[in-house]
Amino acid sequence: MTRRVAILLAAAAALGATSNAFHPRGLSWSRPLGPELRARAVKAGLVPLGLDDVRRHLKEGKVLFVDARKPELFEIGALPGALSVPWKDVEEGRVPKLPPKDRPLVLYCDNEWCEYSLRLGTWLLERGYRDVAVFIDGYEAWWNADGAPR
Amino acid sequence: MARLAEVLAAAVMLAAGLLKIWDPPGFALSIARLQVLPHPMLGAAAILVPWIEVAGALALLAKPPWRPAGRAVVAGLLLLFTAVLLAAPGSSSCGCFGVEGGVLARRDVSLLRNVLLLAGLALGLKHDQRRNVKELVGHPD
Repeated sequence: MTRRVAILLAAAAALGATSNAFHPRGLSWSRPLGPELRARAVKAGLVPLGLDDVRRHLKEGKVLFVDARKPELFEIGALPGALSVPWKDVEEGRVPKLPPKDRPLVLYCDNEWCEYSLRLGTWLLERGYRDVAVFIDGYEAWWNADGAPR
Repeated sequence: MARLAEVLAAAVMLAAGLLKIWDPPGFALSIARLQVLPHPMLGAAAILVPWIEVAGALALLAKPPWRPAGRAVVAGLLLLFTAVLLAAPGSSSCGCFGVEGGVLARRDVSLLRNVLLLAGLALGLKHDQRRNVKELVGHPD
């Protein structure tokens, strides 16, 4: 029986790898959600940004970064100048101080597996905000690249 | 009765696997929401687990030489899914049928379903063991 179980698992692995390679929405083995979240952000009317865009915006200082993570994570560390608007609070009806409508916003949360920025962005668009972008890779990507002390 | 329970377990597993294969990003997102697996493992799990479900289900539906292997794979998956659900902090949905799943994906419903399907597989195993003993007694050489 052990041999047959091994055959089943090997067959499943081969089929999984092959089907993923040919699937129109196949996943990356190491970053499964990045492209998908990007597509969902575009569909929702948000502008998806990468790390290089965020670096540029940080340098220019024109946009307001909005942190959609929990307040305790924001307290530990956030993008420079970011405003904390925790999605959990908004979702539970405790609407915090909202960003001004006349500034372009870049929302972010933890990483590409986190949906808070996407949901907050959609919520803000429904409330009349116009220039809303989402940093898909999130705080962890920025921290790992530029934020950590060297 | 035992065979019916096994066919039911195979059908549930097959449906769950095919729905996940249809929407890989949706399944990856569901398991990310459970916050149990480390991020680097999410991609591999989302790609491989649905096919293991399908392979196990088909083997469970197949003829006896493959059935015990299928039973072992399906039972292993059910035990794994149950452990993940128990370990998932504050999850309300199991992601068992892809990204949504409705009431069938609710955590409590999923736990109950897993226990019932495992019981069905145990019935099948017991039935096979009895049949093997009978065959041995019938053919004592």
